Amino acid sequence: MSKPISHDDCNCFALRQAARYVTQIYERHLGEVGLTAAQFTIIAKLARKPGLTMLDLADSMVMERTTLVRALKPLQRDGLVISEPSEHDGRTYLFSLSGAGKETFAQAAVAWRAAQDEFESKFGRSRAKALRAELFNMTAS
Amino acid sequence: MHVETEADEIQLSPEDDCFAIRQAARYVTQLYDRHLGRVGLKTTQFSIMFHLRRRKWMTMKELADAMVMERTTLVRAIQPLQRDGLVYTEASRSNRRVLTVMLTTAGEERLMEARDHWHAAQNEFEQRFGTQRAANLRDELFDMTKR
Repeated sequence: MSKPISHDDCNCFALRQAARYVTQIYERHLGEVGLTAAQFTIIAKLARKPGLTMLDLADSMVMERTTLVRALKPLQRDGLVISEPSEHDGRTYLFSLSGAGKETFAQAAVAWRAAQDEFESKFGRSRAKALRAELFNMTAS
Repeated sequence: MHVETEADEIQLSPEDDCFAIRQAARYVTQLYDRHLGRVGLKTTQFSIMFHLRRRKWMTMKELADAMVMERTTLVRAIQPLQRDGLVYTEASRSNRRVLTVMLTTAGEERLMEARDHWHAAQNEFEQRFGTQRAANLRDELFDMTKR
């Protein structure tokens, strides 16, 4: 177990470094509509499926609750995301987009497309597709 | 209701490269954090200390560049290490505005302790995902970030 460690062997470092790299590209574009990459993901999820609980969101994004709360707060403060108590359980809140949130999502989707195009023109479209398949396969297990 | 949500997830963001990579990074980070947490380290902190291991010191900028990390994120990750006496920061002698970072002896010792836990994390991940498959994935990812 005392093999020397190399960064080239570290799966975690490889993924985290790649995540920071793509995040910088996407946030340069998404920043134009004032969103971080995590906030875009939240808004995109709520646009497709309103009324999600915190737990639904955290699970579907493989995200720690605290990280999620930190990303959500500015969206709630700016009135893009609204919440209401669940009918079944008053302690559980259901999150949805407001009208302004839907407008922001529409603008953000354009910025996201530009980021996606920039990344894929560098990395290769079919290569990116194969990589996504590998990564989704990893996290689906 | 929950099943319905999960079925929908499969359709969700299937084209988003950024989401795919960030989600996978969170997934492996949770796994590595679980192991490294036994010696009180987070994955990012382990990585920072590992970068510093053979160098007498690095500037914040060199470290940020080496890790492809925003300076503010780096500063936030370093603060607990500094507080616990694992790294030492001081202004460069040649330029007072440049901040340099180095490992302390306690930092070197902690890094040695962390090694076995890193190996355990690495083994757990590769048992699930496959050793060769992991190697291929790392090649792709490092190729992406090398530019």
